[in-house]
Amino acid sequence: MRALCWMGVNDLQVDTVPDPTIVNPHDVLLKVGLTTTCGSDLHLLGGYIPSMREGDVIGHEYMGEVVEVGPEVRRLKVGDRVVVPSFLGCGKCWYCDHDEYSLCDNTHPKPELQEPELGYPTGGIPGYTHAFGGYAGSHAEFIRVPFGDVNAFTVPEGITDEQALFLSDAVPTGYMGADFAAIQPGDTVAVWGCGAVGLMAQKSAMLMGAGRVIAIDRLPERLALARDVIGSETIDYEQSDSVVEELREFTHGIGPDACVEAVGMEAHGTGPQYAYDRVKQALHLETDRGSALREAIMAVRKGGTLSIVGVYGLMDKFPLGILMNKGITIRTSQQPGQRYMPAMLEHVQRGELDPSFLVTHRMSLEESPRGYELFKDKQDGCLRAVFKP
Amino acid sequence: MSVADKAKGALSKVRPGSLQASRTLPIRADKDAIERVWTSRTAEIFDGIPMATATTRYGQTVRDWGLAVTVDLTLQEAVPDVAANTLAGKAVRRLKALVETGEAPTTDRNPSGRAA
Repeated sequence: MRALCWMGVNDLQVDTVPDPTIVNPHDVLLKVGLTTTCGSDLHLLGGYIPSMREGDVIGHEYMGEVVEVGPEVRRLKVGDRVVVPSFLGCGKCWYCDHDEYSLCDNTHPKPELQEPELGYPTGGIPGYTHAFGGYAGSHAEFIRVPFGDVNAFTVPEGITDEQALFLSDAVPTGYMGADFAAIQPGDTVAVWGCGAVGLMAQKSAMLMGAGRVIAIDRLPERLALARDVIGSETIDYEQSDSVVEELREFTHGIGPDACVEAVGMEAHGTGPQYAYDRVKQALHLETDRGSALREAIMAVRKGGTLSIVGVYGLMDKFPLGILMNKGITIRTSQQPGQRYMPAMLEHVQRGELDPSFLVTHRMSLEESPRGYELFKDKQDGCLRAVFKP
Repeated sequence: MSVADKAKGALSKVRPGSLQASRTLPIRADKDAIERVWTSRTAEIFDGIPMATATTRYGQTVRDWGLAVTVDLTLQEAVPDVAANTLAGKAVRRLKALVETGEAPTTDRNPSGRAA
């Protein structure tokens, strides 16, 4: 089959690779219908997250059709149209039993690579480094999905492929971000980042009862989406002397009740702190440029909640003292999409949530390296490039 | 004392990697079910691990996490860059996965550009 392979830092190539097969009895094989770029792929592409190997198939946000099932698969059948949350759960361990699928104890084939960094391994995820399991990714014609009955969700009639696609990662990550913000009716929620995840966090915050949602970004086309499609108020941080000051004034001196950080380790910014982060990251003295996260910590009101859904590695200059003295609650996780899938499908079916506007570029798999160029450099208004293998 | 002698002295104090290690995890099954998997699927549990000897010990049931199971592992030889306790951890994780789900996570037959 054809697949998009990581061949080195900033080097992606479409290559012919072996077809996946059923390996374990609960596996299903999917013919990938749609698969999309994700901001977290850029950390692999740029070499900021280690343990990629030349030839690895990337991609972790996808939907498709079941073409083969393992002998222990009970719920799914050939021909089912499904969407798969990025992190894989087993459905049996303590974590899955408590809806913490991304922390699954039984889906990581290479825990020895991750345990030294995290203490305990997470669940596995396709296309996202060997430290996260090393499963082949979704930017391919076919993909093997372990524990298909747990991880692949049938897409109901009436939901399009493009709507279903983003229920794999962008929507559940944003939805979790809003869920973690513990929103009370009328709350003010500030969201850093107007990429797909940030936009979905904003929409989810509204669905959960936020009174005001304020979006922070620098790209005019993304701020326009936040305003026009989602209904958020916006701050262009490149046009602002101080985002923290603006948020304080927006909220009558109180500060946002909750801040959702949906930017991650490659944040852009302004000022000397940003320059410092860029230099340290370039010299591999830290993995993260944390300007958005630090700003969110400063901006959130006393006793408020900080929800972190951006992807981070190892960050220095983390202002723990501010968190402690302001009594801030932090919640963060990789997304357990299985937990949110029934609610997300319901929102889409009711017409309350339509993530298909995130698609700005539709391409074949052969064009996917170009898609990543557009996505990485944010050219041509690229919010998400979607590939149809 | 020369610099070389100082270096030798320092190196002589570095502890060699241990060949023995133990790791514990709770497994959601009873002892008999765990022992059945331990004895029948040993090859899968220790795939890629140069095991010389390995035994299990059983502790208490930890709330709703399962029965605490310890794997005591002795390696035939050290594995470069991987501590013995990490490998014991890998073995007990595979045992847990096999018992709880019937299969061990794997990237066998994983498509990649390397194999093309």
